[in-house]
Amino acid sequence: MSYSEPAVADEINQRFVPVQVNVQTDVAKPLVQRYRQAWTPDLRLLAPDGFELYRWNGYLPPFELLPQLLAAQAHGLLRLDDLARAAAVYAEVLQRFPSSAVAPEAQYFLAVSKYKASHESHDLLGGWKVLQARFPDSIWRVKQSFMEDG
Amino acid sequence: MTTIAWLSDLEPACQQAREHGKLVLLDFFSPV
Repeated sequence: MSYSEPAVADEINQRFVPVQVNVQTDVAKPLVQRYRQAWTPDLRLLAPDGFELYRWNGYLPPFELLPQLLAAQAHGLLRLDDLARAAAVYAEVLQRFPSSAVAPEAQYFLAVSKYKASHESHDLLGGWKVLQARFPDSIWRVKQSFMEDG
Repeated sequence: MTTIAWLSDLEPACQQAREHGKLVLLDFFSPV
């Protein structure tokens, strides 16, 4: 189980306030209904007011869970308009986990975070050029392909 | 060994998140 991995536990304790809910219990019913929970594992990243910022389903081994956790934090920060911290965490995903499944998504949104902060087109297009070069087969490359030549 | 400091209630977690400038990670699980 990935949660027993010390590196995973450390990251969760440092970055988040973790809450665990057993969906088979009666006490979980209000939260299951509130968040329209349907299938486990189901992880949600919430703002302090309970608003859902990001979510994913399914088991991940430690080497994919760690970058997913960081990417989730970065997405949350981006949605809260904390652009500098979002960019820093996306960059950390790419630096520490360059071959992880979420790396292309992190590259896409690293460019978005920088652009939203600077309003400089080269921050967006330059970051997406890196995406094209490093992750040519990714769906995130496809999602910016309208910007590509030809 | 490091273990995750799971809370079981959302409201105290949201309060902690507010106080420490963090986000809440909510894990819905089903025992196997």
